[in-house]
Amino acid sequence: MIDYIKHQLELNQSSEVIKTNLIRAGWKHADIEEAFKQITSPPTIQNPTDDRSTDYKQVGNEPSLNKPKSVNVLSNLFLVLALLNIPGAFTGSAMVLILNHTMKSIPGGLEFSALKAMPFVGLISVPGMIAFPLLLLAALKIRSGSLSAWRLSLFILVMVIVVNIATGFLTRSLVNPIYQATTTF
Amino acid sequence: MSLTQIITFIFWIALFIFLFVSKKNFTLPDTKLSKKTVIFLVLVSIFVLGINISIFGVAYFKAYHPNYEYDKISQQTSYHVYQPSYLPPGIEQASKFYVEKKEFAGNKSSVRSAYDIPISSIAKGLKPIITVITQTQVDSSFDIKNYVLSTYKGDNPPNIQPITLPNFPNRQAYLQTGGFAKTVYVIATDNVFISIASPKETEENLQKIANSLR
Repeated sequence: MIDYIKHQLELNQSSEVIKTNLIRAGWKHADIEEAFKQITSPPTIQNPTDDRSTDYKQVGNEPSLNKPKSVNVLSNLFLVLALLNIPGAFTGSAMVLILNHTMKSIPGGLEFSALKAMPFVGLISVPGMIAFPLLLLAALKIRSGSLSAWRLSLFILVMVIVVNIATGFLTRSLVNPIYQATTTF
Repeated sequence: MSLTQIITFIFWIALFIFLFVSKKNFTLPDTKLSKKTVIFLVLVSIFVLGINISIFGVAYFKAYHPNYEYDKISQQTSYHVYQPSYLPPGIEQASKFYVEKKEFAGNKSSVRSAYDIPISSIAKGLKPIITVITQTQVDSSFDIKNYVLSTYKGDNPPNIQPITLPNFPNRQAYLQTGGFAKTVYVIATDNVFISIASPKETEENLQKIANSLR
């Protein structure tokens, strides 16, 4: 709690707001006042057997332990979703390298010439490239348990879904004519 | 849809619902991300973007600025490698110059290059008009007509008629028609035997290509 108060004071947050937030997070009024006293008064050597000092250690340095479990679960879910997007972030590049390897195995095959037929292959990686870092940001930011972090995470999730769906439709609409053309031979 | 896509889609929905249900729990004050976290996120983003941009950058550049490896192949051969300065409209070089390790005109290897409509046109459904130029050095006594007839194994021999190519005056030059592919044969002054074959290209265009060989 002390670290949290110090951090908030560094961010120029008023004492009243900090106290209100701490009370809302479940801290006792007396503990909060004691913490403020410790921060504002010069450091003193505490008795190691002092019950109050051990209480703080048990409760934690900031109200994160009082965070609802759902906040941490959501953070972990965002993290899993971010990890699931790693393959997508590199699918396009992998496809280009595999196609190039195939072209190179043909005598006289020109490097990356397949890209001239399918220049949109680069699009395949775009959703993953966008989603992976943004979902990671959401996973880390949402841990604060604030409403603004919730809003940011919702915005990122919606954006990732929209970009994925849009790119999927776009790629499909570009691939289908090529597939139909090549199957007519 | 791939398995990863299905799992991701299920996650989207689950996360979306869970996010709305949990909104009431987000009452804590906002805290900034630590410097270490910000640096980590920036590095991850640079890594993901960097790899993709590098691969696609190199790939697109090489796709649109191909290296036909003419110089490399010229250094590998003891004879001059001819390349056409004229290609029919809509035709472009479709392969590198490469050494084919198969018997051709009595030699164990030859230099080949292919020409065709752009690969993007093939993807749009246009039919290929592939032309292959094969060349190797032969003896001064090499006879094109005898060679062509000796390589033919069918009942009906191909139609071979002599032609005149202004680019190769007083040199043997023939046009073969009637088979699977039309072919122009010519022996250059430095005894490089060149064959220009295509199943679809016109005889006129094959002769124009032959005349443009430098």
